Amino acid sequence: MIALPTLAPDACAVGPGTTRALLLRDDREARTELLLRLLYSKTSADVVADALAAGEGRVCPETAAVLATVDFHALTVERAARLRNLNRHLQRTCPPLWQCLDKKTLTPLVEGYADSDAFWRSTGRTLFENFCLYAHGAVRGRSALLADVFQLFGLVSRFSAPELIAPPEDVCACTTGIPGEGMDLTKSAFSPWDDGGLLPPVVPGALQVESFRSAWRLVDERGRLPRSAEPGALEPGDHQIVVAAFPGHRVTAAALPL
Amino acid sequence: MTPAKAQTVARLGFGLDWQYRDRYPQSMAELRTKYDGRLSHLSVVSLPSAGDARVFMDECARGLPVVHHLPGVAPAAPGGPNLELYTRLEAVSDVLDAVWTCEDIGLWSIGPYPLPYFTPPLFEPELADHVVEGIRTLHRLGRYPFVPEIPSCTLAVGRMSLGDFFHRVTDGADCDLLLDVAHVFSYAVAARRPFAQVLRSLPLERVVEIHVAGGYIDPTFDNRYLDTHSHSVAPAVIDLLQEAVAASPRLRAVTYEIGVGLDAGNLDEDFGRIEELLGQTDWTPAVVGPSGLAPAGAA
Repeated sequence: MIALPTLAPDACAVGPGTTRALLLRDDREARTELLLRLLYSKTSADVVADALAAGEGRVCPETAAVLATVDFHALTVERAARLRNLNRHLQRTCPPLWQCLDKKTLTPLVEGYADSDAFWRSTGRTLFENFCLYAHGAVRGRSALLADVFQLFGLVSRFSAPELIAPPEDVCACTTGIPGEGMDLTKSAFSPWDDGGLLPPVVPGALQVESFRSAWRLVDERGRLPRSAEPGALEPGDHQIVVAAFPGHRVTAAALPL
Repeated sequence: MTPAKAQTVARLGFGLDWQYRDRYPQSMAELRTKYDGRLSHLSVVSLPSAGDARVFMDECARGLPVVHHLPGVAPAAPGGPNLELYTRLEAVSDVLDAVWTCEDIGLWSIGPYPLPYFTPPLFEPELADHVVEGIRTLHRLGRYPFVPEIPSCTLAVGRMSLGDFFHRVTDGADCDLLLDVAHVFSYAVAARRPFAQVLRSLPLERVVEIHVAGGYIDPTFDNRYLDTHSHSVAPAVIDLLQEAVAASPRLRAVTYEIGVGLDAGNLDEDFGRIEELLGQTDWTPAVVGPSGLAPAGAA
């Protein structure tokens, strides 16, 4: 079984300690990272505001002088806009997840992700997979089914077409379109997901195959992804969920009874 | 050629995004045909490969000079420019025979992930010096001139003004400048400064290309201008364009960047407005390749 190095419970909360440490550093990289954290994390913004108010000793003087130029009201508006855009970006990357789970479930997870240390750690191959890893860790204590749903969609996105960033229409349209090379599926890569101790089956023609154990039949007999995670919507039963990648970024999924 | 076309001088180009090639009011190729004879050049972003670039050249550019707008090379990134991406995109520039390359100066990534959207840098001397180093690296390694672009700013942080920051960048790197007048307007709105004053604070003597595009001020927060490219060009941005053209002695190209939300009527109206404005000046475009570019500061 693969350990989950970044999914310990503490990874699901923001680390104010990181922000505090950045405030004490006197270098360009720390100040730039603080700017980015302010734009996405309310917790970081609160830590910075508290430190600035407390004054000496909690912020390097040069950094304090830079942060004194922040308009915190404008920052709040900016952060809200960025969270909306992050939400829409993730939704556009994988619309089926938003068909399976409702906004009431997903929106707080997206906001929690942006406010967490996981947002700054590149555990997943793409931003979307990284979000799924975070969400998996955040929900698994209360719902194994939800956690499995995030693992399934995270794996599917891992093997799908590369992310091409196109921001929603209400942001600067100049800064669009970083063409990604995508994952080279002919080379095996470390998977951050827990495989449940199961060896994936051999799938003829597949470039890569990953699997995990689930107590639900997450994929129907036609290989369709779940459209609901409500109790009763999915058939219970011990299954090996298999996701396979084929040339051309084609992905198939199946649920094998155990 | 019709008599009307014979009298037309092509004064501006389109700024296009390859990933939206089929989502503009008409396809890119149809737009090119519709405005044939009125386009001085094209600027294009998001071409992922040389193969796509060849399609673009055959179907859209069809002989027009092309500016290659880079996405995410990011000389302002904490670790410096993404040289792997830059090298990959040079193959695209080769196919385009790019007259120059450009990119908005800012932060494009959270670690390895492209941000859902971009962030302007801290306006601080240490960041300006870091950008200078990044641009020097691109100039040293690249085959095409890299022209930094003034970024859009929905929030401005740092002790330098936009003007001071870009004076330091362009002086330090001894490079040309791409002036986006909508971005200048966005900074003025965010910083609550008179927009003409912000424009005049910039190193206009280094400007070789101007971008203009539509957008709007957030109706719920008047400190925030959204540079959507999918709305009409704001009157204040047109005013800035007029002043910028007159004050930029080395200007070579004016690019009208369009978004997918524009309808054909708005697009045509704004194209005509900009064309008419440029027609009232004695400026004419000179979109030529690297060998034809006078070095920065030569004016």
